[in-house]
Amino acid sequence: MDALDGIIKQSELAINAAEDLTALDLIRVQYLGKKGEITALLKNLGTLSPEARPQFGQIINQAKEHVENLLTARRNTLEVAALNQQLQSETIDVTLPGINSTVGSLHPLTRSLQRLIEIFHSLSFKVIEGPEVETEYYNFTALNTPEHHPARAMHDTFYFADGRLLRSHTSPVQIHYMQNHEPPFRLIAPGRVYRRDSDMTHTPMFNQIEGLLISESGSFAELKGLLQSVLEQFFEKKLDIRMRPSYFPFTEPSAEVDVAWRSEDPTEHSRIHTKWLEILGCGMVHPNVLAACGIDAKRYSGFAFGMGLERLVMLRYGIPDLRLFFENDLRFLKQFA
Amino acid sequence: MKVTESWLREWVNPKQDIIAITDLLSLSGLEVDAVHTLGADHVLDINITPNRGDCLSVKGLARELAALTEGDLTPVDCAPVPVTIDEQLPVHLASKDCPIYQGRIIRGIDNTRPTPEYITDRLQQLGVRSVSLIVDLANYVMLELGQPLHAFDLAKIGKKITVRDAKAGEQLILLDETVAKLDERTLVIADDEQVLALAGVMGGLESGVSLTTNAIFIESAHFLPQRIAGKTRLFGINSDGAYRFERGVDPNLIHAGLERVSSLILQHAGGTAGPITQAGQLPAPKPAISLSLKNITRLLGMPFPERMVSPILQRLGMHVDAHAQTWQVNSPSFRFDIALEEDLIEELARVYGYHHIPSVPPQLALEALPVPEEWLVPDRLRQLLLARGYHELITYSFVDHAVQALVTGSNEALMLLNPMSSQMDAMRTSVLPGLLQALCYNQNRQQMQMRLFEIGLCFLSGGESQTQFIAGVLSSQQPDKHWQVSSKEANFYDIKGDVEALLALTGKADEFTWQPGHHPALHPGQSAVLMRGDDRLGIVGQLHPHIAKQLDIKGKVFLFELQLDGLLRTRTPHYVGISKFPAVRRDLAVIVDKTVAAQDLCLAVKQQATELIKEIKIFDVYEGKGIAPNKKSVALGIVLQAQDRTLADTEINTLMQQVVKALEHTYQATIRD
Repeated sequence: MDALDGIIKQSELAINAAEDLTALDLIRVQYLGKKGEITALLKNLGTLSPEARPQFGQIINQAKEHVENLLTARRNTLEVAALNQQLQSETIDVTLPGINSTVGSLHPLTRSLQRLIEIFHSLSFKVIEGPEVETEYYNFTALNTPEHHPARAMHDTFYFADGRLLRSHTSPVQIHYMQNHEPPFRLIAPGRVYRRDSDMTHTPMFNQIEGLLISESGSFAELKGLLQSVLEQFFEKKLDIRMRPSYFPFTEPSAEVDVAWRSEDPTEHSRIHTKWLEILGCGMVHPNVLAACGIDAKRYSGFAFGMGLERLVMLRYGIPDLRLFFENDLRFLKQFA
Repeated sequence: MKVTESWLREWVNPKQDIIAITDLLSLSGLEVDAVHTLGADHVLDINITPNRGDCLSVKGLARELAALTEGDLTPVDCAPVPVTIDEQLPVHLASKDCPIYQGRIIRGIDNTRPTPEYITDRLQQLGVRSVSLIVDLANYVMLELGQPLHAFDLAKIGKKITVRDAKAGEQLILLDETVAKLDERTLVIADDEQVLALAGVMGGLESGVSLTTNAIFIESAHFLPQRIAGKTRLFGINSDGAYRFERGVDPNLIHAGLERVSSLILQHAGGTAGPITQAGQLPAPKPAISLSLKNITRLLGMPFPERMVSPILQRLGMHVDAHAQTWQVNSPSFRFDIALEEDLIEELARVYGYHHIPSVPPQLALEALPVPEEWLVPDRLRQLLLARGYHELITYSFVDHAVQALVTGSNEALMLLNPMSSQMDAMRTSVLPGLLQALCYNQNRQQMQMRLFEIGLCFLSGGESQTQFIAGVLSSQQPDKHWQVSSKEANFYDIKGDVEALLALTGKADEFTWQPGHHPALHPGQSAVLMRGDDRLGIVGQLHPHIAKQLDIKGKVFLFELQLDGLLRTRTPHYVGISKFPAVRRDLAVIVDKTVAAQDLCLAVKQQATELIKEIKIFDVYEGKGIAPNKKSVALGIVLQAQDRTLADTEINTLMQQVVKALEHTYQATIRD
């Protein structure tokens, strides 16, 4: 059995010296292959006496197992090394830019409108829409503003030859809705409105969000409460809000709402500069408007408001000029991805 | 309305300073737009809302300020002037829209005398141009008391004044030299021969006073607001008088106004006054309005202090008859805006202070809102386009009709009667003109890669149909070089892919089909129409280079425009069992005429086994070497799968032979080896 000891020693040396899997496989063939040295010893067992066979058989099989284990261990080592080497060679510059990574941007007005809609949804307000080309009836008459009423001059309106007009506010949507639904209701109607005006602070098209709540308990105090909470959620901070008496033919009492806004303009010599900024008009729906829509003003009351979306968005994002919204300069739009 | 602090303080002199007064006025509904310093004095520019015609005078503003500060008014002297001649001009009222009219003759005046400086100063401070002594004095009294007055040159009018409807065909040259063509809508002041003035609006040039005038007939009358409303717009003129009358002038002012102006005329222009002629009567007082504490509380949403009701209303000049928690209220003749209980409640809230009304959360039952799953929310389309690199725009709904005609190939549009400019004169029938102009704007600012989109209303069939469209444009001039991926110029299939992704969102992409399009603004060989069944949903294509050039757009531009509603119809998904059996793919390359549409080939294949063919992928299209010049090779990958069995080779082979036969038959296809 001296021969076996020699074979084991030689195989151990050979396995440990193998540098790659091919060499290792040759070693496996040399010792354990069909014509391998250990295989040959096993074949020779037949020549031994029956008494000696089991003992020698066991010794040779142990040796075979030992060599197999060594081969497996070495294979694992070589495989890990080979993989590591491959991975090493595949190292890249992970800081290079990826492929197809450009995204677009939502218009800042849409972005903010979505937030406002979400706020109103959380208060069970429905979102509805209405036509932009309107009749005088819906834009004015049904809103308690008969022909030649001086309030019509408050809005410089765009007209068409057939007497129709571009809605000068979103309030007509209220009328369409109230004529076709039974109170109570809560809704907002966002959309484009048009006034014939163009300067630093006016564009001939802008966006309003009309709001309407009619119920058996709708009150001025509720209007204040609702606007306070909506505006605070929109601006994500506590706000000082004040209401000023105003006039709209379709609400009574009417109010304008101002927020106290701290100027963050660095050119103002870091002076703390709080201004009251007008952001919306509102009021209790006028009984004549309710009556025109067939709603019993003795039983139901409620309020309406019209927010200027651009004004809110300018305050929210610090946009200095209304006209930026409609110039559609990509350098502006990309800031609102 | 402008007013100086000093003039206001002659009427009411509260202890508050100008800043406090400004705040007080603003917070009670008379919004002070600006305060200008004028030496030691201030000019307040006050935004008087249309309901408060009673505040369009110094007296009216002072009356309001006195009510707010609980101060006392010091009125000017309007005592009758001595009557020293007995000449009168008879007045006849032929319209109920002039309920009362007073006038008097003043002879022997000198209109060449200068207007006293304090008067010209005040006129100027309040924004009224000085004209001549008599006109200035009339304007001064209008600003002071709120009563518009008009002086006629007695020598130029007849022997009788009539207030009547104008007759069609009459015309009058106005003081500002506007020629007013009249009809029965307009109320006029006339003598027996001709129209002298537009009642309450403007006098005629011929009968007006001049520097040589030495005798006048001065008019102080009341005209109903609804009869004066709209007249300045009708004639395209400006009139301080009409501005006041259409908002309501206190009928009780006419006498005081006439005496006040007479007194100033006698003092500054000399002359002798005749007796006042009056026609008509003061309108009957408005009926009392009932007010209840219950309704105050309900509308304001707070328990309003009962004890404050009468004092607030009385300070505003109302007559109040108080009972237990109810009041009968008569509003003064100068308040044209008080007709309902709600109007009184606003007065209470306004004087009490809106800021004292609490904020309470609205009380309404919680209500789950509908979330219809069969309609896509447009925001999902927006998000998808954003992810594909599109920027959302908002462009004007009115565009240049010429640009629109160029882009849509049609001149038909709803035209504005009074556009801002010719670049904004037509309502858009397509979102594309706005998008393309924005594209050009940005190209001029070195933006080379652009994907832009907008969702908005378009106004078709003369505005009968107001329909939402979604449109996009893609420009890739000088494509950006990526360090690894080779850059390619954008083509038709880039934008078509974007549209197909939108269609995929509907979950019903197979309902849509494509047809070659013929759009005047698109490349004739690269335009497609998207159909859903028989409905034409929109277009996709390359902007015609000829049109791009006219719009000053550089490089190739690809665009799409789709009706939004057609895209929003989706479905509630319904689970379909997943086959447990393997799918098999067979590839097939066929040579067909160049003109055969890939969509038609796929359809023909699909028809052979609609159940088994799960997908057809076009993985290669080849023209050129090895293929006849008018032919192309199209390679289809056909994926087959059954729900209930593993497909046997024989079954698949039979099916493929069937497919080949169908293509040979319909499209003269040959198999490419």
